[in-house]
Amino acid sequence: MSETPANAAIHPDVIVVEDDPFISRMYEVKLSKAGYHIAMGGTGKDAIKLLNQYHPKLALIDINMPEMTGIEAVKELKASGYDFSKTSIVFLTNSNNPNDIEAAKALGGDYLIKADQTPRGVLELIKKKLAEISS
Amino acid sequence: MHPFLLQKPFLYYAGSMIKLQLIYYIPTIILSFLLGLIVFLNNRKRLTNRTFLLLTVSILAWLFTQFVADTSVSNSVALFFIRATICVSLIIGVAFVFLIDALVENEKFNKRLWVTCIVILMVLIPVAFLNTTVVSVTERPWGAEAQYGITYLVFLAYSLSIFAYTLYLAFYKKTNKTPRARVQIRYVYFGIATTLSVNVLSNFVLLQFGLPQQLGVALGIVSVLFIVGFTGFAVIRHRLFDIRAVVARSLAYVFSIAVFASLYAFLTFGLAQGVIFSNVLTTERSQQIFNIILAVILAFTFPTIRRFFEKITDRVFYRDRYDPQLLISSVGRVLASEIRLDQLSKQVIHILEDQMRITDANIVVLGELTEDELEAKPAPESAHHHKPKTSIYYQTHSSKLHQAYHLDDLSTIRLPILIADELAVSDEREMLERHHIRAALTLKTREAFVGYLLLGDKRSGDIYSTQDIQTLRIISNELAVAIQNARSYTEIQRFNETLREKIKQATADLTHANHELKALDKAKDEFISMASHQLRTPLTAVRGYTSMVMDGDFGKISGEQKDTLKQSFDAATRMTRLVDDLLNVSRIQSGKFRIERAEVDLNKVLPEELSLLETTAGTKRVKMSYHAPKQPVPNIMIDEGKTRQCLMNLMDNAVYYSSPNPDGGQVQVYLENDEKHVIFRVVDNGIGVPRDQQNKLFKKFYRAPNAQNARPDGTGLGLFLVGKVVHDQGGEIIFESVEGKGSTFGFKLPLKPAGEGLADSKKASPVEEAVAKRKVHA
Repeated sequence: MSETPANAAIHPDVIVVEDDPFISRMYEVKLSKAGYHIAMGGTGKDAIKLLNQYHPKLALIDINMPEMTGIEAVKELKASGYDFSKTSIVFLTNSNNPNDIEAAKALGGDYLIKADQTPRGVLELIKKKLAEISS
Repeated sequence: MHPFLLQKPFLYYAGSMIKLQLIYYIPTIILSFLLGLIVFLNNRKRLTNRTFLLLTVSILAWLFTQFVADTSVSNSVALFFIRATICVSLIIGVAFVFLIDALVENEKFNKRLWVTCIVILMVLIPVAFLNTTVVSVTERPWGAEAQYGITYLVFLAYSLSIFAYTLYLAFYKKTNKTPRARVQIRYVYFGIATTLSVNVLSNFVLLQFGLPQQLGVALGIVSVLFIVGFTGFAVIRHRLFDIRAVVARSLAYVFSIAVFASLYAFLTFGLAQGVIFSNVLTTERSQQIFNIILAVILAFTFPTIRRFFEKITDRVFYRDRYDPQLLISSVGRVLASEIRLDQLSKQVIHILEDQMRITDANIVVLGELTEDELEAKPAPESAHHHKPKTSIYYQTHSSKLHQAYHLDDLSTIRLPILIADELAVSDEREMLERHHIRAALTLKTREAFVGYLLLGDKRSGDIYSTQDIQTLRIISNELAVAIQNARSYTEIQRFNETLREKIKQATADLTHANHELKALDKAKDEFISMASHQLRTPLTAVRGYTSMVMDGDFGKISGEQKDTLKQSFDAATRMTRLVDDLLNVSRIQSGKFRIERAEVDLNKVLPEELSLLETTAGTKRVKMSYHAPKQPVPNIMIDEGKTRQCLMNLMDNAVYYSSPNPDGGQVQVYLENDEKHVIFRVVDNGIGVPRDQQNKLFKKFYRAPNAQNARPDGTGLGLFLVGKVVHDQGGEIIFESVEGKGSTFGFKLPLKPAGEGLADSKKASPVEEAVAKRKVHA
C-alpha cells in the first residue's frame, strides 16, 4: 500500500499546518490511516516550530491562516537558514490567488487547491512526493 | 479810503458838492442796477431772483431819495425825502428778510412771513412821517442834515430785529441745504448785513459821538457796494445765480466794442489828419470810398475780435468749460467699442467726471427680478409697487460717494431729466437731495426702461446749465441703448457661466457617483472573492469526508451506500466548479481577470488534468484515450491555472455529453503542435451541437437545449470561460460539431505570444473566427 515504511517511528514523516479544523482533521485521518506519522499545526508560527523541530520530508502548509500566512512562515524559515533541500513544501489554498501562486513557486513549493482535490488525491500526491525525495 | 475823506477840507462849495456826491452815487447806482437786472433776467420765475430784484430796486429807490434829499435846495423838500428814505429803508429790510428766506427755504413762498412783514410796514411807514422822528432839516454846504427825534429809535429796533431774524435764518435754521447753498446764503447775508450795519451804525450810533451826518450818509451809500461785492462773489465763485454767461458775454461784447471803436476812431482820426494815405485820399469821394472799405473790413474783423475776447472771458469765467461735441464723441466712442456692462459704465462715468467735472456719477441698471427674488419679496409690498418685477441689476459709481439706492426712491424719477435745483420742494427733490443727486436722468430705449444716470454736484459748484442738460440728454439716449446691448451680452455671458457651472457640477456629481460605483464594485468583488473562498473551504471538507467514506477509510461500505455517497460527492464537486466559474466570471466583469503568464509544459499538465477525470469517466462508462504527441510539444508562456481550467472544462464536457451514447462514450484527447501553435483537441461521440445553436455556444450563460437535457445542472459558464481564456492568450478556438454524431472542441495557442494586441477584445472573438472558418470548410 505504501512505499513509506509503516515503522518510520515516532518521528513524523509529514507535517500538516491547516487552520480549518474540518480540513485539518480530514487530512490527519486520511494520512494516519495510510500509515504516516504526522504532526499537526494551525498557524504560521506552528509551521515554523514544527519544521524546526522535526525537519520533515514533506510539509503541507495552508496559505491563508491567522497571524502569519504559510508563505510568510516559509519565507521566515528560509531567512533563518532552514535547509529546504530535504523538505518538500506543498502549499494548500482555496483562494486561487495569482499572487499566492507566484509566491509559492518562488519559494520552490508546490501548489495545491484544496477544493479541487479529494483526500485520496492529496495522499497520492504525498506518496509521489515522498518517493521523489527517497529516490 | 473814500475820496470824500480826503477832499472834504478843500471842497466847500455847493456846486462842487454835487459833483463830489456823484462820485459815490453813480457807481453805486449803476452797479446795483446792473446786478439786480441781470439776476432778474436770468430767471424771472425763481423767488430768489425776484426777491433779489425787490432788494436792488428798493436800494435804488433809497439811493434816489437820499440823493434828492442831499442835493435839494429847499428844506421842506429835503425833509420829505429824508422821511421817504426812512420808508424805503424799511422796505430794504423786508426785502432782505424775503431774500434770505427764499434762499434758505428752497424757493418756497412763505405767505405768512410776507403778510406779517407787509403789516409791519403799514404800521411803521406812518411813523416815519411823525414830527418826532425827523424833527428838522438844516442845510449844510455838503448837503441836508437831519435832526432826529425819539420815535427814530423804533427804526433802530426794527433794524435790530431784521438782523436777528435773518441771522437765525441764515445760520441756525435747520434745513437740508447743500454746503454750497449754505455758503451762497452766507455771502448774501454778509453783503447785505454789512451794508445794513454800516447804515445802522452811522445813522444811530456814530452820530451820537459827533460823526458828521453827511459822512454817515456817504458811508451808508457806499456800503451798498458790499451787497454788490459779496453777491457778485457768490455769483462767480459759488454760482448763486446762473448769470456768469451773461456777465461773460457782456464783458466780451463791451471789450469788443471798445476795441472796435478805438480802431475806428484811430483810423478815421489818422485819415482826417492826413497822416495815413495822405497821397491817396485827397478827395472827399475817395474818403467816402475809404470809409466804406474800412466799414467792410471792420464788419468782417468784428467777429474775430469778439471771439478773441470771448475766449479770454471764457478762460476767466469758465475754467470748467468743456466742449460738448468732444464729450459726446468720446462717450460715443466708448459706447461703440465696449460691450461689457461694467467697463462701459465705468468709462462713461469717468468721461463725465473728467470732462463735465462732476464729483459723483452713478449708473443704475434695472433688471428683471429672478424667480427667487420674486418669492422672497413679501406679497403686500409688491402689490402696491409700481414695477414689482424689476430690481437693481447692476450699479456702478465713482469711488467717492457710494450710494445704495432704493428702488422705491428711484421710481419717483419719472421725467427724462430732473435737475434738483430747478425743482420746487417736492418728494422728488427731497429724495434727490437725500442722495446728493443734482441731476437725474432716466435711461430709456424705445422698448425698455433701462435704468438711471444719477449725477452729483459739479466740481465748480455750478448748477447744471442748459448746455449740460442738452449734452446729458444726448448721452443718456445713447447710453440707454448701449446698456441694453451690454446687458444682453452680459446675460449671455452669465448664461454661459451658469451652464459651465452646471456642467461642472454635473461632472463632479458623475465623478462622485463613479467613485462610489467603483468602491461598490470593489466591495462586490471582494465579497465574491471572499464568498467563493469561504464556500470552497466547507465544500472541500464535504467532498473530502464523503470521498474518504467511499474509499473505505471508515470501514467497509456496501455498493449501494457507495453509489449514494457518489451522488453526494458529485453534487459537491459540481458546486465547487460552480463557485470557481462564478469567481472567474466576476473577475472578467470587474476587469480583474488577468492572464498571468509562466512557462508551462503541457506534456505534463494535460495528463494531470486527464487523471482527475478518470473516476468520473469510469463511473460514466466513457472511454478516454490520450494521444500524446510523438515529440513533446514545446513549453509555452501561458496562465497555467486558467489553461488547466480550460482543459478540464472541455474534457469534462466531452465526458458528460458522450455518456448518453448507447454504444458507450468515446473521448479522444490530442496534443500536438505545428510550426506556430500548440494544438489541443477533444473529440467525442456525444450528442453534438445543433447547427443553429453553434454560434451562441460560447456566450455567457448560454446552453444548447440538448445539452440542458443531458446535463441539467450546467451553468453555461464553462465554454464562455474557455473562449475568454484562449482569446486573451492570443489563441484560437477549435470547434466542429454534428448534432447526434459528436463534437470536436479544442484550441490553438501560439508558441510565441504575440503582442498584447491579440488580447484586444475589439477583435473578432476566436469563436466567431472558428465558426466562420468551419463554414468555409464546409
